[in-house]
Amino acid sequence: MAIDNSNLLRMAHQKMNWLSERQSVLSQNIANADSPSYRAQDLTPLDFKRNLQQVTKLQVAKTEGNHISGVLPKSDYRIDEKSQKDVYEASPNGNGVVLEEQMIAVQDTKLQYDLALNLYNKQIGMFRTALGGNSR
Amino acid sequence: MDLNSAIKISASGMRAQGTRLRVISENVANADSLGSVKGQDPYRRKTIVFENFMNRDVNAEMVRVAKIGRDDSDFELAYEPFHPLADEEGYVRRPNVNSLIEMMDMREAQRTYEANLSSIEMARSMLQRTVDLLRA
Repeated sequence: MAIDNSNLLRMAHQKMNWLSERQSVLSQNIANADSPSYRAQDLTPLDFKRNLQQVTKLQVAKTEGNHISGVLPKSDYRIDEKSQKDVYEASPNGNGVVLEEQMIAVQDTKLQYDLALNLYNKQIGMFRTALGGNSR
Repeated sequence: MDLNSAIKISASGMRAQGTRLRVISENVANADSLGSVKGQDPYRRKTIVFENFMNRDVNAEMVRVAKIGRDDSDFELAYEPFHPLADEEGYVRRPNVNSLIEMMDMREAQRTYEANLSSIEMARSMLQRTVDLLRA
């Protein structure tokens, strides 16, 4: 049994993927905090139901080159279109990045990442306990 | 896009703000540079414009300096009839550098630079914690 078979680990993994993706989008916003007519962007929130579906459904195995892949929903992260329109304030050159807002989002992303990572770590620790190692 | 690209994007923002700070220091340093001969223009204030561009390598919108232009506003006139560069009416043309504007610009550059820096720090510590999984 691969360690990736654990649903919790896979969900934590997906969450971390999404969070690191979001971190790059936020970095992009902060880097462009003074570019004319740039609007801050954000990702669409991670859908728990979809996330769960992805993790719990079984994937049809591809045993031959001619097989088509299963119907699992793909994990794609999209830029939230709405986030670009709702700007709190825009400077005279059309820039709509509020640094404070972005910093809070960055901080929030980091906290959530730490949470997912700790859960991942804990789960591994439980495996280790089950295996009888006395390291933890 | 992942945490590494987040760091790259923030670095591009820091580079842009660094260039901006260079232009500001040029302006402040030359705030008293007059022409060397009579009738020559004194120092003209420089301006800087950023733009966001798609970086295919990183697959994100990074920031770069679009152009370093010149501020075409009028020169300041100082009444100094005994100055060697004074014209017939006794006026000396001085650079159109306003130290107050430059100071505010500098503050803003610093603020954005710091925001980029802490964004890098966040991404870095997220990466670090993930790498620390190996240690357990």
